[in-house]
Formats: sequence, structure tokens, C-alpha cells
Amino acid sequence: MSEYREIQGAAVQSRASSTGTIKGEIWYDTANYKFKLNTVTTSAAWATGNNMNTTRRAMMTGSVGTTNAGLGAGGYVGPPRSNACEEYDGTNWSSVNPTLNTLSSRGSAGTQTACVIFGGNPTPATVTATEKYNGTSWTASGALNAARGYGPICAGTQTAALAGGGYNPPVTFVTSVEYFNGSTWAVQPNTNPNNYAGQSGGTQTAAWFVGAGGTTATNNTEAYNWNGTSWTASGNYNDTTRVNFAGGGPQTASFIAGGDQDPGMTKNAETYDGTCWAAITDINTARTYGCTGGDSSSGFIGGGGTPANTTATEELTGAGAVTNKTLTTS
Amino acid sequence: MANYQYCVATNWGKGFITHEDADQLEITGFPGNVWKVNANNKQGNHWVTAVAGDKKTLSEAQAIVDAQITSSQSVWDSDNVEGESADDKSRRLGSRPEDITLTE
Repeated sequence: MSEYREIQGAAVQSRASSTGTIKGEIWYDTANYKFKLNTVTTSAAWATGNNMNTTRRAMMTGSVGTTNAGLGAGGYVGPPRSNACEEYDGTNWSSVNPTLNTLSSRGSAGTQTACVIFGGNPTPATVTATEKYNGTSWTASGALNAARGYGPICAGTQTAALAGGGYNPPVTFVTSVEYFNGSTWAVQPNTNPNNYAGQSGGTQTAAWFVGAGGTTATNNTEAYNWNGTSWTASGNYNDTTRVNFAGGGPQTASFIAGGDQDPGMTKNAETYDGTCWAAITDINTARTYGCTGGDSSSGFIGGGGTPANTTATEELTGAGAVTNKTLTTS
Repeated sequence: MANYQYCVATNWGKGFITHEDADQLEITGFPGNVWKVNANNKQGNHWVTAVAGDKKTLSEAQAIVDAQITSSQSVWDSDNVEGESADDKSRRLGSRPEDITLTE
């Protein structure tokens, strides 16, 4: 039988009332002579949402929009690629105007009515193409300075986006960071740990990424936070063997889910608060990424590879409020 | 006694698995519309009924999954780009679909 000390890394502490408690911790309340637990009212859970119209995977890394106003565009049908675009309203997916380019594994940022997607894979090279969506139609915009695909790092909004990492076969692991101002991309002074096929989110001045590939892949077990100037290693995430997973959200309330583990695929999901990763309830069907929206309190994943491509959507409802409970024998 | 039961059911989307289902049961989807859910569990049995699940034995479910994986492996094997390295193929497509072994 496991002991609390082994699981938690510390023995049960004695505290006066509820002072200084930590989420998930059991302690002995010396003021009230009771054992207590700091927990959440409800666990995070994934429910099925209605299916997408086009079966595909590898649409966009990063989160675009919300659960009630999401977007999925492009992707790999297996082969060929797709230029189909769909909007999610929290209930149904609706097909809308297609993207200008037919690409997969692109970076993305913004909302359903104001987003930017960039880079991506034709076969097998990557591109610098950038497109903007206004909720109705797509328009071409300024090209990236570095071609990057295979799931680059992305964050921000349509008028203040960040691009980093990515892979450009056969040998280039892209390390430059670029900022988009709504029209053009500008290379930033500092580079990033080369990365692709992971996940990312946030803003130009508070971004994050985790995973996955690159020439230092074995070192990519930590999240990295971007403060507008440089990347800083943050907390280790739990399931570090995965690539091509879904996820997104702001630096302080993001999530990742699923992924390719070679061998097999995983259902594991985690949330990130900017410092720590926490495992949450698994997604229902193991899969690689398709498209994502929202954050750790309310998010969704759509499409992906199971390994066959799927139209399935899953919706995340985050954990409930933190509360202190008294432990009893009943 | 088995811990899980299997069924085949089509995921129709919203309501197929609710947040309450996910919170109270361990439901896992596999290729071929195969679903694994807790056995000897009233809520698990209700979920199978609610989704009009066609119950399968472990071996029947395994055969359905195997067929789907074999098909996905064939698709992966035949998706080649001239001059592409094995590593780059894995980067582009993800790793080759692996066999899945179902358990009770």
C-alpha cells in the first residue's frame, strides 16, 4: 500500500486551521482537531461534442477562439491535405469559406472572427504563407521570414502574434522567434529552444510551449515561458514522451491532451498554470491533434488521428472551485 | 471477474459521453467505434444501453480493433514522398500505427 508521504513527498502537516494549505494537500487542523483535505468541488472532465464535417488531423497547433466560438482549418486528410474551414459554436460545426492554401500542421493565434494562421506543410517542405480570417473570408498577409511547419510554436492574437520553432525538412530545426503585427512578421533578437510538434499558447509577452521534437528533443521535458524577451524553463510536465498533442490557452490557464507516443497513442491530459503541470481526467479517445480552442477551464479538441482520422470533438470542463473538506470515516 | 466490458457504438457527438459519464466512469474509445467501459457497474451498463451499444466479447472487440489498425498501418505504409527520410516520414505522419491489445 502506498503511503501519503511517498505520494505527496511530505508527511501530513499540522496547521492551525486552514492557513497555508496547498491544493490536493491533506493536513491536520490543530485548531479544530480534524484532518482536512484541500480539493476541488468537481473534477475536470471531457464530454463528447458534435462531430466535425471533414475528417482530418494536424490542422493547427495552438488554441483559436473558445468552446463556444472555435475554428478548425486545413489539416491532413491522409493524403491529400484539406483547405476546409469549420466554425464551432459550442454545439455544431458549420463549414465556412476554405483557406487560401491547402496545408497542414500550421501555427495559429486569435479568435474565431479574427485569427491568423501561418507556416505549415505541403509535401514535404514547409512554407512562409500567412493568412488572416475575419469570420467570413481569408486574406493573404505578410510572409514569415522563416518557413516553419510540423506544428510550430504559436501564441497571441491576429494583430500581435508570435511564431517560434517548427521544422523545415530535411534538416532545419527553426529557432527564430517572429512577431506579427497584423501585416508583417519581424524577427526578434532572441531564439527559442528548437521545437515542433508540441503545444503552445499565450501572448507575445507571456507565452508558453511544451514538447516535443528538435535536435534537443531529449531535453524537451519542461515547459518554457516567454516573457517578451527570452524563454525560461518552467515546470516539468508529466507525460513527456508524447508528440503531436492537442492543447492551448493562456500561459496561466492552458491544457494539453492526447498525442502520439510511439508506440501507441495516449489519452493523458494535463493543465498548466504557468508554473506547475497537473494531470487531469483523460480524454475519451486517444488521438493526435486536430484543432483546439479555449483554455483549461473550458476548452475543446476537434478531429485528430486515432490513428485513423476522426471528426470527433471533445469538450473540457475544468475543475470546480477549490474547497476545504473535513475528512471523516463516513 | 472482468473489470471492463466492450461495445460497438457510433459516437453521435453531443451527449454521447457527458461530463457526468466521464466523471463517474472510465470510458475509452478505440478504432472501429469500439468502446470500453466499467463492467459490473450499474452506471456502466446504463451507458452502454443509452448509446445503443452492441456488446462484444473481448475477442470480438479485439478483432474489430485489429482490423482497423491493420487498415491504418496499410495507409501509413503506402503514404510515401519521394526522397523523404524515415525520420521525416514519422515527423510528417506521426509514428506508424501500433497494434492495440485490449484488456479485461
